[in-house]
Amino acid sequence: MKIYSIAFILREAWKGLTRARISTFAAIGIIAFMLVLLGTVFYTFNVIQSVFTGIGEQLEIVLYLKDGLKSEDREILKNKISSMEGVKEVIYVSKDEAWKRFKESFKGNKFVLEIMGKNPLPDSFEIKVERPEYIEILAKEITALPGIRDIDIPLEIARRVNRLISWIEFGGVIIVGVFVVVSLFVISNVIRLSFVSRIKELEIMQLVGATSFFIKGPFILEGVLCGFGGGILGVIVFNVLVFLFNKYVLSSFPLFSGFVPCDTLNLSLSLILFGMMVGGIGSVIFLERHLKR
Amino acid sequence: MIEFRNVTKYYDNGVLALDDVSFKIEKGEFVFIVGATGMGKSTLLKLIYREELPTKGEVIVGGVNVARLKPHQVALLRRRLGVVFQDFKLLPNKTVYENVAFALEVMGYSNREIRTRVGRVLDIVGLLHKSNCYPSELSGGEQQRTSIARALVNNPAILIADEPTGNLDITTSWEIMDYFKRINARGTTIVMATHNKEIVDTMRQRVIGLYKGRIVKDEYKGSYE
Ligand SMILES: Nc1ncnc2c1ncn2[C@@H]1O[C@H](COP(=O)(O)OP(=O)(O)OP(=O)(O)O)[C@@H](O)[C@H]1O
Ligand SMILES: [Mg+2]
Repeated sequence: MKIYSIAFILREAWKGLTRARISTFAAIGIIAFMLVLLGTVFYTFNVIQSVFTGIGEQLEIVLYLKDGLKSEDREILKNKISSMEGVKEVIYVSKDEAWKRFKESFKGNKFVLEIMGKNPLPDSFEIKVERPEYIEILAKEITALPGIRDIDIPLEIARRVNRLISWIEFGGVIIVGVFVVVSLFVISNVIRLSFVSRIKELEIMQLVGATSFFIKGPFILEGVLCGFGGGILGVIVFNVLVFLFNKYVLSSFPLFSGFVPCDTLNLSLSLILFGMMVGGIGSVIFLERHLKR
Repeated sequence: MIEFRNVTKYYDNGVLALDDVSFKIEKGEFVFIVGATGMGKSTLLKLIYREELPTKGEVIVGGVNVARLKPHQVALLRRRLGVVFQDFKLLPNKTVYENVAFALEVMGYSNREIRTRVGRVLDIVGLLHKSNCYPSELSGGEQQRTSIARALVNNPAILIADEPTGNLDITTSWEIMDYFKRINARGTTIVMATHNKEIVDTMRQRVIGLYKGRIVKDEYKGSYE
């Protein structure tokens, strides 16, 4: 392809965009709006999902060890558990440590402390898991290990949290999917509408011998550029919204305190890319419908 | 160069525009297509540059059946033809200069080549001073001359002109016809539909007459009547 031809396509696309300014702005605005919507929906689900995963992460299995377990055996046990799939962290809490914590929490309550008398608490492991769905499987494996006196498993809560998370994920996929389809439809139609006034132009181009490369090139590029413009604008608005949300909404709910805001960079890039892609697709659909041969 | 073999054309709405038309035009000929309004002149020309396809029969241009061409080949065919459209078909958002240059741009000419060629052809049709006007700022005759300039700019092997003098005064018409005569003498085949009796009668070229879609006359050194 000659350099002149590339320059021609670029120039024509630019002229097309700057000429019909109103419809270009309208298209960019609507694309931006759809992308903000899409981003917001996606982000909202991400927040909800993270919150529940956070709750799940706080669940832990507590393992009480038999009295008089030798420290080598304890180490072996700890390593075994640490190497199990889904285990994030194993923390050893000695009976003295546990007693200290206990006394701390019943400080001022002499009565309870007196009843307890000498430290009756055993050594224990606190086992944190990567995701709450591991709790059930791990519990079985761990129970079978030697040297264990008792085990404390938050099974019922884990099950509930798991069920909730899978519902949220399922709903998120469906709703985000619906929004993707809707914005695909809206954006490609916006592109099409901003082009309809130029159908006659297409015919004239064909009649003077322009190949489809020359006819389609500028239109597709225009669509992609519109998508890019809408993407940039949308992403700016979206990030401002996320910033405000994190600052004013998230921080005022203790429920969300553990939540680390997800990385909006990748999401932003995806939104821009999506805008460009759909802009291009919109142009192609328009050309397919109106370029008769 | 151009051959119609028993060509019949029905439009989608059922109108019979051409009825069993056959003729042959050799390279370098100058042919007038005459006939009253609605008799099928434009239809005949459209079949040559393949804006329309025949319902029956074959249209052969440069040795190939145009109905068989792929889209890309249609574009290449049209580049070898220069077409002056009855309704001009100018791009409304391009200036006179850009409209003419456009035909060369789609063929991948260099900018410098485009500048010299467009300047020359606009000079020929007397529109150099209107280079930067948009079609909406032009008179009918000026639009027509822009359309003529665009058809000529690529030195086409075949010039197809649909009433190219329809909006021009007699002096300007003759200027254009003189130019047509010159490029015809250099080997360009010309097929021109017209209502202009004076031009046809004075030029004394081949005349094909249409009446209700049929050829009713085909004379060398013919006249309008
Ligand atoms: N696109 C079309 N669809 C349907 N009918 C058409 C179409 N174009 C032309 N016709 C009909 O075909 C017939 C021939 O039209 P054509 O344009 O070839 O006439 P013409 O000889 O060029 O007339 P004029 O001298 O007015 O330009 C007319 O009856 C016209 O109404
Ligand atoms: Mg006509």
